[in-house]
Parts: sequence; structure tokens; C-alpha cells
Amino acid sequence: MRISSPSSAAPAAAGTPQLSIDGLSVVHRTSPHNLLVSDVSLQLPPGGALGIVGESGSGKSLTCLSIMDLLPGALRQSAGAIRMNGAPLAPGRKGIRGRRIAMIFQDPGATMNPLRRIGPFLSGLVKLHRGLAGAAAEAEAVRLLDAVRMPAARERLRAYPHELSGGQNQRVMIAGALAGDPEILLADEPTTALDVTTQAQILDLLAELRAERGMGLVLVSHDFGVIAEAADHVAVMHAGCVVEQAPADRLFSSPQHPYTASLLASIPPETGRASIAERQGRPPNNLPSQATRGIGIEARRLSRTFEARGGARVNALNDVNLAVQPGEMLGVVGESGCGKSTFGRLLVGLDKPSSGDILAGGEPVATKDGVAFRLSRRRLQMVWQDPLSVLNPRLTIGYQIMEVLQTHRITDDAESRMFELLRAVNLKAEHASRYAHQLSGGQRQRAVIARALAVEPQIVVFDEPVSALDLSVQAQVIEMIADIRNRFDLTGIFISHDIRVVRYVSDRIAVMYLGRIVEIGQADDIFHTPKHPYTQALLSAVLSPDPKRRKSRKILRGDPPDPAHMPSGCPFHPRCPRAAVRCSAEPPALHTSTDGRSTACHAVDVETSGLAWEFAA
Amino acid sequence: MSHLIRPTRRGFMTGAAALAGAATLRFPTPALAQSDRPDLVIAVQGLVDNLEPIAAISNVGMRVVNAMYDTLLYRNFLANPDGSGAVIEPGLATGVERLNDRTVRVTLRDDVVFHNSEPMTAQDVAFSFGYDRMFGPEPLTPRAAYFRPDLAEVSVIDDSTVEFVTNGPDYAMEKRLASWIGWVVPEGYFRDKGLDGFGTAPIGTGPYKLKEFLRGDRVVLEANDDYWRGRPTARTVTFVVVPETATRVAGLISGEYHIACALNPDNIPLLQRYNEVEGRGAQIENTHLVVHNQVDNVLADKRVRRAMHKCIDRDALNTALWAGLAGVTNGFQLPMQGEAYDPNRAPYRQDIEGAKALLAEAGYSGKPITYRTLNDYYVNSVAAAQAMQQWWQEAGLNVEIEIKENWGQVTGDGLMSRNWSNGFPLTDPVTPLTTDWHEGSNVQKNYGWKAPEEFNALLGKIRSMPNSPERSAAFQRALDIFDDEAPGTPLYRPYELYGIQSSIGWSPVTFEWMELRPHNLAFD
Amino acid sequence: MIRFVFIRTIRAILTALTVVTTTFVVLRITGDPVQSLLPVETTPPEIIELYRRLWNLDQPLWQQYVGYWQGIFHGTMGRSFVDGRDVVGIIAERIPITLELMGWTFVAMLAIGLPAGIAAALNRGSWIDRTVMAAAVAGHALPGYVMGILMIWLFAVELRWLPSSGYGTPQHLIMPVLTLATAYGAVIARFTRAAVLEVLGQPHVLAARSQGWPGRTIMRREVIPNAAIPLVTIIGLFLGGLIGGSVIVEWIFAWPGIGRLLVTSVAGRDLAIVQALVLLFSATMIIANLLVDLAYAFLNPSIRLRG
Repeated sequence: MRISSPSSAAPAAAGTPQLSIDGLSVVHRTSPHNLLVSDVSLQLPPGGALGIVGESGSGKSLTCLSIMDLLPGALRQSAGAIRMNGAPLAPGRKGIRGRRIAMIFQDPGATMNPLRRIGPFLSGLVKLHRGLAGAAAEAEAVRLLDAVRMPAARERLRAYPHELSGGQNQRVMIAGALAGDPEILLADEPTTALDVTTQAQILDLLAELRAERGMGLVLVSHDFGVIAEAADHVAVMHAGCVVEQAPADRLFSSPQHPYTASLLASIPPETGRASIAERQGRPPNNLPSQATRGIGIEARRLSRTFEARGGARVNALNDVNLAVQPGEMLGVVGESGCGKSTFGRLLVGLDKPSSGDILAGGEPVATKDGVAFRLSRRRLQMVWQDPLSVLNPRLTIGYQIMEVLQTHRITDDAESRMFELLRAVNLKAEHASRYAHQLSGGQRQRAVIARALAVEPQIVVFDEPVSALDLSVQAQVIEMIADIRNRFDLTGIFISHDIRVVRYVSDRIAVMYLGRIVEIGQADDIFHTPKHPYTQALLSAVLSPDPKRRKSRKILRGDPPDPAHMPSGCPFHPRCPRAAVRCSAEPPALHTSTDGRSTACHAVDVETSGLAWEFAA
Repeated sequence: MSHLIRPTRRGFMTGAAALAGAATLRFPTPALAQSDRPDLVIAVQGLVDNLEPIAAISNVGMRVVNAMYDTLLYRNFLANPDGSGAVIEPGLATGVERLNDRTVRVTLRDDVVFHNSEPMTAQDVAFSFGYDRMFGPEPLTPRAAYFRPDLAEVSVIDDSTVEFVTNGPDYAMEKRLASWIGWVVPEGYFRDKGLDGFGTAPIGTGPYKLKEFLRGDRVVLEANDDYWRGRPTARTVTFVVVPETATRVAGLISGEYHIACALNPDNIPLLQRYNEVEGRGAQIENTHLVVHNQVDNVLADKRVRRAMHKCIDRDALNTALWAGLAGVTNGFQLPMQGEAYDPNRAPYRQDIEGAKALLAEAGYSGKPITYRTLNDYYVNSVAAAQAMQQWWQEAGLNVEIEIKENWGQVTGDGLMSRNWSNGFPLTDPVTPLTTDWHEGSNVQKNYGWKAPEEFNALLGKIRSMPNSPERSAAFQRALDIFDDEAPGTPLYRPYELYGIQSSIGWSPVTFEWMELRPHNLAFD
Repeated sequence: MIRFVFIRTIRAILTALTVVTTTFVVLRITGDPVQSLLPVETTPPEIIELYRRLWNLDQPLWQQYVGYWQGIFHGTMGRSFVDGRDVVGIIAERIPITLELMGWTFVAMLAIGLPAGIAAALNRGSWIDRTVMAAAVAGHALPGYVMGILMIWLFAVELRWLPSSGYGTPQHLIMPVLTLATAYGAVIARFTRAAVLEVLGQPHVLAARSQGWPGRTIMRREVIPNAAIPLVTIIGLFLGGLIGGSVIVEWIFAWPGIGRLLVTSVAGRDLAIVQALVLLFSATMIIANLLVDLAYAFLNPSIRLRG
């Protein structure tokens, strides 16, 4: 395995880019005048890291696929040249794909053949690119897994992709990409499908591999944080064009193009809060307000257990106590599998708790299938991540909202109320006659929220309402949610994996890990002075859109454990940098300190009592 | 046998045929086998699973068993060119002697052997009609109960004489011995095998013996060269089941079958396009009918029944449904019933006005009458029902057609009118009038027909008297009452159409079987 | 995996029980079989009673039902209502005949459907794709009856290449197998095309291309095995459905199998045979389903390795 930069390539003349894209255009075969990528020119300096950033549909992925000549069959490259070390690449990229340029993709689970074990996958690539076979190929496969810091590499050879976590699969894909010892690695949204702590691990790995091997890197992402973290040179794409390119530090500090500037402005700031300035000053909502508006919701010793295949019991939610005050917005944050969505569904009665109670305004919340449940819909509403799946594709938006208004007999004049609701979520009257597929992602989510608001609910649970949206749209929808929350005097629960978004809209934040609340407190307190080691790791993994602030991060090791095999004691202890013997023996309780912050951590408890944890442990 | 080799017909496929000409092969038709006699292949719509002659009584079974068994007396259908002959001739019996109104005695041939080479004896004949097999309380052949004469005793008088005694006077006994009840089986073999065993490997005295029996698929018979009537003309006869009519026609035209049974009148134009095949057929001794259940409904009024009867245009039904091939009778009688048949009896005529008048007289108020039928259990029954419904409606009769799935549903609760058929299995007026319409019959017992006493008395006369002008008068008078009372209404005689290779000398008969004995099967 | 097999097997048995019970009851409450079998008008009551006793129809329904199960456990399913022969024997002599037809049909439908579907998917939008799909629609839409009769007229009457009907020789197999295989092969082709297209669109195929694998290797290693998983399900269900499809073909081509036996038994209301055939058909369906489940689990490591 070589550590130095590749020697197999023809020595490049000084200043010749390792990879250059000149005047690239991509069109649809059936409509050659509609340019999906338009005259894009980019250079990757030898051993450099080029970031391409843009929103969905900006052409960034097509540009990346063009390098490999892997455009979808319906598309074709209509102009431009791709050169490597100055030499144009032949169509089909024979001898290039996987050998001189390797590529990794967004969803590592889906980019692996589900029927192939890791071992044959890697040794097959070793054989293809290096001609090694049998035991030699297998030994090389283990070395590759070691190179991507895969723990217990040899045992992984017999694993199928579904037996590995997303982060582990991405490591395997990277190992596969390294099999041909490529000069350049293309990474198309390599961390988008991963949790934030895993994302940090993978980005670190890529940085280390670049340093070790002198590989050039082309990184495609929608996330400025990722780009700022990993790229030296950044190109911003919009509608098929490169609107700006610059060295990373200059681009983030002084964006020249208004589009770049506006995108950067859409990132939730680390201080300040959505619509907070206006919260008091807004004219009162002109929709009728019930006397009973503004109720709180409370979970008492709430648990939910699922039966997994093979009879294992999974504690998706474990003894959660939580009270949301009337008019409060509570943020719930955590990585996938932490139980935050289960919690949301339980709160609105869409799922039945295994034990514990939920009280909304002091009354128990009815669960599914009954008159009480239907009546409770008027108080409790939920907004999901994917608006397309909750809207009826065959009915217009206006009809769907009016249907709700009429079913619940909200008003005599359903039509004008429907238009008011559309206005409240910043939709226009003309959207009433549209169908879901005729709206953009952001408009659909607005429509869903308008429909949820139609029953004049008192409590709304937002479950990842903006995660599927582009950055610029995300910001608008968050603003809108903050706005209607004020105008409708809602009590809200805002669930997200993104702690920046959560902080931006919430009054308080609850951090969840493996079905438990590990920390809860005022949003800014949690964000700026996290106490729980997990909260600290979560915040540390947040990537700042500023390359100068590349942190010395506290990167968590490994992945969250399988919920079916919960660790003893504190569920976080296997990954916790501060774990001591006590942590594996005794689960910490959620203790509230004098500043109103609650934390479930032995270390915090000890330190609160004035002792040093390291000493006490 | 030149008829079997002929050029491929020119037609829309000429091009393809020419291209494929070299590859075209003729299927070795059985008739080309190396033998002095051809192998006859008959495509049939179905087969029975049991070849015991009484168990096999059905439209698909009798054509097979008629080639395997003989009756004591022989009805020579071919005495008339159209296959409707009613002459009773000697069969396994050389003679028959009537001792009194209840007793007949037959003299047997002494040169008849069964297919297993055992001679036919008087004991075999007595067993075939006897207490154990036919008329006891639990007969070895249970189905005999439907067809048996009212026997009191069957006894062996000597080696060549058997005597039949009935419980009441029965002058039709000789005719019964020539009917489907009269096939003779070997006693020892039958008792040894039982009904199922015998039905699987049957033995008779007929011109052909069983060679191969694949249930549901085929029966292969081979010539019984010791046949007492002479050497059979085919080496083998194969009845092969081809359920689909179109396939039977196709196989006939392609030369795979010599005869295709149970074709539709629709097939005639197709057969006419090919020189080497033709259609032959005969009207069957059977009548499709409408029968009425009169219990607690408007049909209890005979004027309503008669009105229904008067509305029907049988000739129109025949033309539309049977291409004019079916038989429209003059009254509920057939010529083969003998001297009681009156050729001058007036045929049924459609009379809608007369029907209207009757309904008015009866004060019929338009109460619905249901007419039930199975979906073409009887050929063309649904189409016939729909045509009749039109005529009934014209006269003001409100008849609703109900198409049912099984007989249980047809005869179940709410039955009013339905379709039915009556066979004429004897060359005598006793069937079907005295068997299906008598005092103890379903129609009188369960369907509420209050037949005039005179009618029942007349049936008694017909049943118990020898042929005479008095019996003929009684029969005609009974038919008058039948038409007046209209407990049921005859429609037409169905037509059995066969497709056949033109070169084969064979004639159909007016019964649901085929005559394959040497005198009616000849090959060029 | 063992647990999975166990649960599926139990479920299959329960399904079979339900089917048998339902048929048993439905067949007996939709009409008195004796009325259907015997000409009620002319049959003496004592004969009707004799028949009722012979087939236990004089007993209450539940007793008949219990007796039926006792019979099954003793290896008998009663006697034919029409001719008194043992039902198991009657069906047993027909099964090989139908199996011969089904087996070749199965092979032919895969031989037609799989390559056609793969070719269409790989040449999506081309004339090959359009031709295959048009043929698939036609093949599926053309009723088996029409197809069968057309073939008989072409190959038996006009060209005289093949016997018009019957069974026994390889030539006899060609038309009935083609009739069935065209219809089913058309469906297989459509499913294959969809399954292959689905896999072709999956990221792991793109990833494999990016790794430099040649197209044939990708086809063999990525596309075919993954497309096979849904296809196995469909094809397995066809196994059960084939028997149903055989009814018409057996009728047209005078093929003396169980499909035709069912038709004649239903028409003749031979409850014992109908009952046994329904049991046989449902057992076939259920076993086919079970095999599909197991094959699915076996092919799919994410199920195989769990539980």
C-alpha cells in the first residue's frame, strides 16, 4: 500500500490540474436545449480537495457522474472535455473507473449489493484491479478494511451489508474505492445519509486517507458544513451553472455571488432565534381563539417496547418524564434510532405506550380507533417529514383543507377559512386548486401544516418537518413554523436530528439517546454549554460553514448499539469518553440542577456536588 | 382408404403451407395400420367411468356399450333409412313366446360366447335380469332401479329357455328386452368382479371387446372375431374424449378422427367446405319439455298452463336454434311408438290470441311466473327460454327466467316452471306417458297436478293392454287430456349431429347410441 | 430462520384447514347432491335413501365433516358420488398427466418470459422493448380458448404438422404448452422487465459500474440475483396458478388431466371429487406459497440470517 502520491500516472507538468472539467454541458436526450449542466469548468489541483456545493437540481451530482461517464441513460454530455493530468479521458473510462478514479455515493446501504458479503466484494475488486486472487486477495481485503479503520476487520469479511451500520458500510465502500489505489476519489454526498456523529467520523477518515495517500478528492455536497470541513477549493452550483468558485476560506468569509451569500445566510445561526424579535409585537391572530387555548402536554414514565424479529424486545422509549408548558416549543434532538419519532407518535396518540401516561391539558390522550381519538384530533396534530406521503394525490390542496374544516365543523364558511390558512403558511390562493405533485417540496410542507392547523389544534408535533427540504427552503419553512406558532398560540414539539435547527425554533431542548432523555434545558444553554458528554459530542459534530473553525472535535467512537442489546448501566457508556466503572453498572437518573438543567450522567452529578469526576471515579 | 390421403386445402394459409410443405407430415391415421381392417377412431364429448351396461346408460355411455353387449331381442333401427326403425328382431334370443299378460318366455341361441370365450347360458340371462342384479331391494347394479321392468320372477326353464314374469300385465316386455335394459352380462364373472370391477374390465357378447380403458380419456375396443353376427368390419374402435366441439371438428377435418360426435348445427357450413367430410345426423327419441309445479301458484289454473303452451312457436324455435334439424312432433307422440301413434293428430300451433283469451278468462293478473333452467344442460335451453319469454310476454304472461347452477337449486323452493326432457326408450306408448306422468309420478304427487281420473284410468289401460284399436284410442284420448291439462309442454326432439369421413358407410340411428355392428359399418 | 420456517408452515396448515372446511360447508349447503345426481322425478324414495346412506348424507353436517377428516387421516377421501370409485385413485391417475403439461409449461414460460423481459429491460425504449411489451400484452390478453383454437386450425388443420388434440407423444405437448406458456410467459416477461429495470436503477449497480466492472459481470452479479428475488415470488405463485390455467387448455386439447376432471366433477356435482380437488389445488397453492416464502428467505440474506 502506497503512502506517497501515485507514481503510476504520467508525471504532470507543473500547474497541470490533476483533473479538469472544461465547458461541460449535460442535456436530456429528448430535449437537447434544456441544459441540466451548463458550461461547467472546474479544476482539481494535484492532491487537492475540490468541493462542489449546491441545492438539489443544481447539477452537482451530474457533473460528478460525468467525470466517470456514468450519466443516466436518458442524459448525455453535449459539450466539454474531462482531462486527467492534461490527457482527455476516453468514453467508457476503461482503465479509469475504480483504478485511477474511484467513487463513493450517498447511501452506503443502497450502493452495496445486498446479496454479497463484504469479503467477496472487496477481494473481487482487488482481483479486478490488482490481479490478486485467493488468500492474497483476502489478505488485501483485510488490509483495506484496516485502512478505513474498520474494527474487527477479519470478522467483517463474512458480513452482509445489512448486518453493518451505515457508517460501517460507507467505510467498506471507501475500502472498495481504495482497492484500485486510485489517484482521485469522487465522493457524492458521502455523509448525507449518516448521523452527525458518524458523518464526523467519515469526514475525518477521508481527510486522513488523503493525507496518507496524496489522493485528490472531489466532494459533492449540499451541506456547507461538510464542504467547509473537507474542501480546499469550493465551487457553488445553481441551476446547472457554477455561480462562484473560490478557495474555501475566501468563499465562506466573503461570498461574492448573491446566491452563495443567500445560501450561507439560510444556515441557522448559532445565536438568535426564529421570529423571536417579533413574537410579542405581532398583531393578534385574526382566527378565532378558543378560551381554552394554550394547553400543555406531559409524559409520565412513558415507555414503548417493540417486539423485534426473533422475539427480542427493543425499548424504543424508556421511562421518559417530560412536561411541555402551554405555548412552549420543545425541541427533541437525537440520532436515528434514539426514539424521538416514537416519542412524537405517542404524544399525539398515534401509538399506544407500553406503560406510562400522556396528559394533554390534564386529560389523558386517547389512542387510535375510537370516538375519543377522533375528537382528540382537534387538539393534537402531527406534521411529518415527507409531505407527499400524507397528502392525497387525487385531491386538490384546497379540497383537502376544506374537507378537514367540514368534517370537524370548524366553521360555516370553509372556503374563506381555507384561504386564510393558506395565507397563514405563506401559500397563495392559487395553490388551493393544485394537486400535491404540482407543488414544490416546501410548498407541500406548507400545505400539510395548513391542513394540520385547520382543526385549530392546541398542540402540534413536528417530526423532522424540514429535513427533506433544500437549505434555502428549510430556512423559510422554519421561519413560517415559528411564525404560526406565535399566531396560533401553539404548544409545539419539534423533532429533528439537527441540533442547530432545533435550537433555532425551540425554547427548550431535550437530547435523546437510545430511548432516554439524557439532557434537557433551555435551548441556548444546551447549545452553548452542553453538560452531558453525548450532547457535547453531538454539538462537536456540528459542522460550521467556516473552514477556519474546523474544530478539534470530540469524535465519538463506533455506532449507537443495537437497541435490542442495550448496554448495561448508562446506555452511552461504551462510547463515552468519560465513562468509568460505575457507568456500566448503574444507569444514571435524570437530575435537575439549580440552573434548571436536567442531566442523566454520573459524571455531571458528581461534578455538581463539587467533586472532580476523574477523581471520584 | 384413399380418402385419408388428400391435398392440404388451399386457403388463407396457402403461403405458410407451401413454405412448410416439405415438413408437412400426415399423422398416421389408425386406418393405415397394416391390417385388412381399419382402426376406427371416434371423437366423443365424454365417456362414462364405468362400462357396466346399466351403469353406463347415458348419452356418452351407450354408444360404447352398444358395441360390447347384445340384447335378447334386437330393435332394427335401420329398417327405416332414417334410422328410426322399430322392428323387433331376434337377438341373443331366437324367439319369444307370450304365455299370458304377465309372462313371456325366450329361447336362446346356443352359439353365443362372451369375450372371455365362455358360452352364454340361460343362467347368465336370468342373472342379467334377475333379483340379485336388477329387481331386488339392493340390486348389484343399483341404477337398474330407474330402468327395470316391474319383474316378479326371472327363471331358467331349461338350458335354452328363460321365463320372465311381471307383477302386473306388461305387453311391452318384448320391447323392453330389446331396450337398454336388455344387455346380457356373464353371471360368474360379474359376481366375481362386482359392479366396479366389472365396469373396469367388462365382458359382453358384442362385436367389440375391451382392449384399453383410460378413464376420462379413451376406450379402445377390438374386434371380437367370434361374434355371432359375423366378423366386425373394424379392427379396433377407439372412443377418444375431445370435450371441446371445435377441437372435435378440427380433428375430423385433419383426418385424425373418422367420426366426431355431438357437433352443433353451427358446424354444418364448416363441414360443407371440405369434400372429404360430411355431417350426418338423426332426431333423437327424446323430447325437451316445459313442466310446471302448480302447488299454491297461478299455474294451478289449467287455463294459465294452456296459455303458456299456446304461445310457443316450435317451428320458429327449430329454425332459430337447430337450423331446422330438430323434430317438431304432432302431439306428445312419436311414430316409433307403433300402432297407437296417430299420424293425423294435429300438430301444435302457436296461438297468442287464444292464449290471451284463456288468460282473460282465468283472470290472470300478471303475477310473476318463474321459469328455471340450468345453463344449457339441455342443448339450447337458455336461448329457447328467452324466445318463449318473448311470446309469453306478448300474451301478457309475466315470466321471469332464472338460470340456476345445479338441479338442487332448480327443483328447490319456489319452483314454478322449468325445463325437462322425456326419453322414449321403448317402441311403445308406455313411455314416457305412463312412466313420467302417471298417478305416482313426481308431477302428480309433488307438482300438484290434479289429473282427471279419466287420465289415470287411461294410463292404466295403456300399461296393461296389448296393442289394439282400444289401446290406441285410449292413448290418443290420454294425449287429448294431456294437451288440455298442459301439466307440461313438449317443445322439440333434439338432433344428434355427427361429422364423418364421407367415405365411411355408417348411418346414425334415432337413439343416443351408435350402431357399429357389421351391417352398419363399411369402409371402401 | 427456523422460527420463520415454523411460523410459515403453521400458517400454511391453518390456511389449508380453512379452505377444506369452507369448501366442505359451501358444497353441501348450495344444493342437495342427491337431487343433483339422481333424477328426483323418477327415483323411488328408497333408492334416494340408499344413496344418502352410502355417502353419509343422512348424517348431520358436523358428523359428515368429522368423518371426512377421519377419512383423510386414513388415507381415503371418500368415493366418487357418481361411480363409487375411490377418489384418491381417480385423482392419482390424472395427476401425472397434468404434471407433464404443467412441467413443460413452466419450463417454456420461463424460457419465453425471462429472456424476453431481460432483453426488453436492457434495451429500454428501443424497438426490442416495444416489440416484447406489445407481444406480452397481446399474449396475456388473448384468451387461452381463442389462442388454442387458432393454433389447432393453423397447425393441425391447415398445416397438418401437429395432432389437433390428445396426449401421449411430444407432438401432443406442443400446442397446449404453447397456449399456456404464451399467456404466462407474457406476464413473466413483464415482471422480469420491471424487476430488472428496478435493479438497474439501484445505486449499487451504478456503484459497480463506477468500480470498473464490465457489463456482463454486473449483469451476472448485481442485476440477475437481485431481480431474481421478486421474480421467484411471482414465479412461485404461478406454480399454483398454472393448475387453474390448465382447466381451459385441458378442455380444448382433450388433455385428460385434473383440470378437466374438475370441470366434469363440478358439472356432475361429484362432491367427493370436487372436495378432494379443492384440497389438492389449495395444497398446491399453499405449498407453492410456502416454497416462495422459503426461497425468498433463502435468497435474501437479510431475512435468512435473522431469527
